[in-house]
Amino acid sequence: MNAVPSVNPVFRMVGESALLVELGDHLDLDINRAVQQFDRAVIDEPIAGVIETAPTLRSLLVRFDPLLVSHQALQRQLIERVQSIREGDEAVVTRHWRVPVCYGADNEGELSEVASLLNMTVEQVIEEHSQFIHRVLTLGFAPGFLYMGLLPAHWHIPRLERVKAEVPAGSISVAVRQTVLTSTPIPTGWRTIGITPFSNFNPAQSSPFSVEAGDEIQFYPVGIEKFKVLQQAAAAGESVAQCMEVRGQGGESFP
Amino acid sequence: MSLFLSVVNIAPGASIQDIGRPGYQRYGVSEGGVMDRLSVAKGAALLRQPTENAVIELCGGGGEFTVHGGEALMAVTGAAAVIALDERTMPHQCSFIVKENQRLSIRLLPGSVYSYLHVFGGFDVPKVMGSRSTHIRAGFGGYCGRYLMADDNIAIAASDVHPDCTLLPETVENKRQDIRIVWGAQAHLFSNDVRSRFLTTEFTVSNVRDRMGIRLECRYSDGFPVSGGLSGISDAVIAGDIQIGGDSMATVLLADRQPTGGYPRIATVITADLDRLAQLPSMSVFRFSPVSIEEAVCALEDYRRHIAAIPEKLQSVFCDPKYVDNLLGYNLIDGVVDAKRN
Repeated sequence: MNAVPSVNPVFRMVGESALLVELGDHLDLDINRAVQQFDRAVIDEPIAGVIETAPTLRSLLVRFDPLLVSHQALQRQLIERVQSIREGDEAVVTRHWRVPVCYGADNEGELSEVASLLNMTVEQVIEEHSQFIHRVLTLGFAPGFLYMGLLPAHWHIPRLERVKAEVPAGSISVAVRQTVLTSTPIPTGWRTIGITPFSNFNPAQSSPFSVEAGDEIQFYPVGIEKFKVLQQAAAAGESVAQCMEVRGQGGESFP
Repeated sequence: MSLFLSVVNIAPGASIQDIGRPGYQRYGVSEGGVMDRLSVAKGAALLRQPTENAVIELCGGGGEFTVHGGEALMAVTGAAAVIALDERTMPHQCSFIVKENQRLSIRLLPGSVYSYLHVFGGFDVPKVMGSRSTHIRAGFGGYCGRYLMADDNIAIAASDVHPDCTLLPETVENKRQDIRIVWGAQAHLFSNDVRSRFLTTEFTVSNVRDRMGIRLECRYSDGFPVSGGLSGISDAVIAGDIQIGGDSMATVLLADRQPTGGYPRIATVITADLDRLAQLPSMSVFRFSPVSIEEAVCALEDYRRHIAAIPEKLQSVFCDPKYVDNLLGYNLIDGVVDAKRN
């Protein structure tokens, strides 16, 4: 096992109480995976004075108390954690989720638009999107909000020119080879192709968030009737997404 | 009957807050919490209780309240306000007993931004993810996940024994007029010219402000353009980050900011100056001063030392309102001077 060769961290202070550690300057699956491993390394071997870490697409935010640890001392310890990252780590357990989606339910117009942008039929869009294994790149923007990627290159479709005032919780939207899943109503500039009864934000539960960065998601299409049944089940507190854990770094489909 | 506060009327934007919800930024939840932590620490000291207890953050205007199911020991801190218990004027930064059915009125002075209503025991709304702070955008925490409205009844954690009433003399906390910054995570994307102009510019606090952030105005119509190299990839943002938007104008991001953002951050306000920034009245004018990380850490140390020393400055007062009159003149005048200075 070798150290990830591309990782060359850039440390940037964010105020006196946070460090932003950039592992790359562009969106890349390997860099994104390295961010998650780096985050795991900091969690597994805690550094005194660190308040919280937040992994994003290509960087890790480290909030700390500068009266407990100096930024220089923190940086030295973070470099050690980065260097501990290994490629193809067999010990990593990847969680695979199967999440039901009613494609086109809430916004048939935008699903058709995506189909014409991709030069495909709506059926082909649904098939390709639901067969793809989506990797959760990061959570951000709003509680439980998932960024997933990266779809094949021909999915590099632009965002909308205007931001939609609000899409409901559960909206599945696409742009720039990514899929986003919202768990609260939010404004968005992405085209919404479906809706899921699954919520990744249940504040009343002891573990409000189910899916984490690094998890894999495969969507499966359900009709509107099935969606309504699942939505009621979800409202009653039942889990409507299936999860299984797989050793190694993913890429496998469900049997 | 349990003890609760009833909202008779309240200006828009008031919410239940505490010291926030750290640890969830990785899940897309920014920390939130009160906008002025120093003022909340003062209220906690006056009531001799932990700063973790939930308070009502009043945002401009003010409100009227009644207590039911018993009496409550309360205090008002933060921006200058005229406080009355029925017809009697009460001092700012002073704890006093509100008896059942007495009407407490808090009227923020013009230009006042955030005042805090504290109660001994704290407002007893359910903790969500370790905090009682209201997350308005996602609609959870606080009182029903929303801003407070007339007719809301907010539970008060019951307590039989109140500490004695105390007063915290109003002092000029900080004579500084500038807001201190350290250069931001993306400062390198701005030219030296733009950065030096950022420091010499007089900024005006605009009316476009809330718990998420404050949009700043300045006389340069072309703002602070980024030189290039912008990746457009979102990174995590923190309270105090000064983001330069697509129109090249500056916005300071505050407690309820979105947890990630793709716009470049030219600078970050130091932690010790965040309360003062949040309390700047709209239309006030100020400049940013750059400090080193080391200076920012020293300022944080001073800020925490100052908070830790608040209990030493408490003065005892008699709870009975008939003894209150002689301290009013002294205290309220300071409050008014405070407002003018702002």
